[in-house]
Amino acid sequence: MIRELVRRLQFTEDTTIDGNRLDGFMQAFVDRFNALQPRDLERNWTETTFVAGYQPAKPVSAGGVYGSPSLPWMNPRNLPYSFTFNQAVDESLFYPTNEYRSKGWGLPFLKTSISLGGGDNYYQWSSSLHVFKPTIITKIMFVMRTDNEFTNSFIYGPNGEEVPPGKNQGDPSDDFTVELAVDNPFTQEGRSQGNTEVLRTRFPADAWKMNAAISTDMKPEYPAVAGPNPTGVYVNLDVEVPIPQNSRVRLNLVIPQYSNGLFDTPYDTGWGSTNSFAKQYYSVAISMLEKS
Amino acid sequence: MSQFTRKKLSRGVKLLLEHVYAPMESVAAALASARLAPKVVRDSETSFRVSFWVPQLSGYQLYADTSASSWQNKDKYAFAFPFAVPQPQELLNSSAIIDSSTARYSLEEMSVSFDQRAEPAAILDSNNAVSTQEGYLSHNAAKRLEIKLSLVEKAMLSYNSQSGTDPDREVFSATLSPTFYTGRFLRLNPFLFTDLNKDVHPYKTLMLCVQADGLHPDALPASAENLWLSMPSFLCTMRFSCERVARDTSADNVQNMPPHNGTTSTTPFNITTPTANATITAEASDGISTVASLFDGQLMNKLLSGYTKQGATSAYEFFTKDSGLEVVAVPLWSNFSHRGRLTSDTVGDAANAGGTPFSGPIVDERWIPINYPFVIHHCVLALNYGSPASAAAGGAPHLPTTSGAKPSSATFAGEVGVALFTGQQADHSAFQQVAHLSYTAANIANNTIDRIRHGADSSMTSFDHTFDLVQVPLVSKGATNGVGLKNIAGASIVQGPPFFVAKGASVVTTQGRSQAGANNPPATKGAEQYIVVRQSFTDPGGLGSDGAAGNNEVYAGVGGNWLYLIGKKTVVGGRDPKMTAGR
Repeated sequence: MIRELVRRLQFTEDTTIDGNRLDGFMQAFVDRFNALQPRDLERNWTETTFVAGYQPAKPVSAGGVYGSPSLPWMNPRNLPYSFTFNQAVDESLFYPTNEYRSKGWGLPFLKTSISLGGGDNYYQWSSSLHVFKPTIITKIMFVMRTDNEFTNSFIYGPNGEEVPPGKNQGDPSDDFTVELAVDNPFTQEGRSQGNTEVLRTRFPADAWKMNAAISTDMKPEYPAVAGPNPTGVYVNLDVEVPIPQNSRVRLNLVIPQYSNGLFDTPYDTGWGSTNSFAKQYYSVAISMLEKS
Repeated sequence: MSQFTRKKLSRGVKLLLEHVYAPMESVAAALASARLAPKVVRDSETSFRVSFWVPQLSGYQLYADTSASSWQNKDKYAFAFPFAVPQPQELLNSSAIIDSSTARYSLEEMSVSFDQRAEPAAILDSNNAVSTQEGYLSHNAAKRLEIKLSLVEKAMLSYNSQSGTDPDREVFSATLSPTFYTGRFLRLNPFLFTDLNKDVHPYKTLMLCVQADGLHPDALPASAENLWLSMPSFLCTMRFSCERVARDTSADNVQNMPPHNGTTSTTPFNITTPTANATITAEASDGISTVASLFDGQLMNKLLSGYTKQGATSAYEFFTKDSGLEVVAVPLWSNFSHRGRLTSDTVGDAANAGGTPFSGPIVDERWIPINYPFVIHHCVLALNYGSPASAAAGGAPHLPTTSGAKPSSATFAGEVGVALFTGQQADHSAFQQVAHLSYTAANIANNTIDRIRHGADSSMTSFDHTFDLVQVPLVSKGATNGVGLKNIAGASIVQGPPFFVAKGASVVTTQGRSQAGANNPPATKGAEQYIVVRQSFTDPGGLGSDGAAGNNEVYAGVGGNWLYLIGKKTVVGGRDPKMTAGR
């Protein structure tokens, strides 16, 4: 079968070859190669990478003088009752419009009935992006870096005390969540209607460690007193998520804080019972392919 | 002008072979020698983004004034993010002359978003009457979320010593209305501007300014009616379209380069043409239909260019230019303390600062995954000194009475570095240095390419600029240097040649990568997984104001420091083999 990509005219036996037909054919041929279509190209995407991250200052509870804000970390839930919205507008009738800000973060051994501000049992860092043309998200990275001062051990029972039901002391943490969601195009403000495209939750942190046998550090060198080897958790997800044009993409990161467990007992974990957002520092990245 | 032309077959003209076959031979020759120019592809331009993604833009971090009278001068304050997109090394003109070889780019899109907790409300920051209300919602205060965006540019001091420190042109500006954020059923968050088509000068410094006066309570002190607000997880991403440029080859002496050296492979594309005075036929081996079907077949197989995900070339390619510019903006030291700044007054709260007077070194570090190939040509660091003064002195939460100053201690040392890293789920673990700069208060100007502030009214610092833009030199390839930018004294900064980055397919061999810095083969052996960016500060005399530093000397101002990785990326995608180093 002939797929006529460069011709609009047939030249076969029993067809004529005359000046008009040849002239039209050659014009179409030249035009075709002077204006190649994107479909003619095997590779026509370019990659772009978004990078975020920060290092929290020492909270006052950890010896800091000025303290660290908990923002951008906030609770993943907007409770509909039992608290006071600050300057709320008729909360009984209209608000909250979204009780749950994202999906898939609840732990069976940690209460989800949490208050409004930061803290309590969960923290969520939520970011969004408007995609105008079709794209493909290819990478999601969430690094929680530790050293001698950022001390999350990412295990249950680092102090040999009570751990959540079903966990043993020394088990790796599996209590944080990465979600990539796309807003529903018809109910954009309804988070319950959003499409979860990537959800990684309840996975062991020790799957994402680094080989620490590094002979030579980079410059500037990590302070020897801080423990120079890269420790912590380096979640690095290769994904292939096609995103339609005019979509709103949301990256939701949720970490726990063991203020009170299932039976109001603060379990022994690396996150601690206060300021769990300050137990590590962060690098976050999203890579995506865009049509060039 | 078109790349391919033909002779018209006008009435009465004798039909010659050249009427039919000359254009075919011309296209065939271009296919066989990879000489298809970008102009033959519709929408051939590539795109890159400059994205500022910060933990929060908070009223209390920016507006230090605690007196209502000072608050009347709102133009003194702005969140600002300066950057530059220097030309790739081989295209860099030492006099900033724009010519036909210059890679031009224009602003096409801008998207702005922040976290409202999925509600039509504003978010309280940490300085309100009840500190535990940080992160609370205020529906009433959402009406104060007016955001003014402005992308400005200025001539670089390195090219024009008289250009001052204030922006000289506004590229784009817009105001986002609070009504965008208060709808119950639809909120324009993220908000997107499209089809902007704003030309940008390729040799100027650019700066994104964000003013959101409503983050300040307006009347002071703050009360239940007048609240300090924040925009958590603020993300402004600007998409630029860019003309295609040629990828780096052996002539560019690229470091860490695979053995292919960027060479474009070709494949013969032979067509048979009739001899002179032969009869033109349709279906013979040299017939029109037969020859045309060869071109059909090539288009059906699609035209290749660019690199694979692992940085390999294809067996054959067809285009002269397959690359575009790339910028990765990396935040350092942002959101530090409730006042959002790392200064001689707050440095004691930094990890690893030690005891008074806090000699450090203190270190911040970002990790960036390597996914597709990228060639780094320049690293530019924006040092931020923005730390506005307060009308009233105070201790916690840090209320300085003087505006931000540069570090002045003779024993102060700053250091910034970029490296590749391999070692996740791997037998081999190593860093390979890409760029590095060690500087003091006395010699930072040697690498400074420009200075900028958001306007002449600025009170972000006690001097005439808020930011230094500093080139962080790429490491030299042994004794071989590349092309650096000029500093503000007009002297060229010495740096190494461009640096190739791509995750390889295996760590078993070195993949034949070229020398990188002093390492031959490179320490990462062609299997890099991450780019690591690190900045440190140290002062044996003390980073704190109790030591060698003065009051409100700023190591990273409001919004933090930024490091920009600037280079080239090829087009990618298509039928790559499915091999990935991570998961």
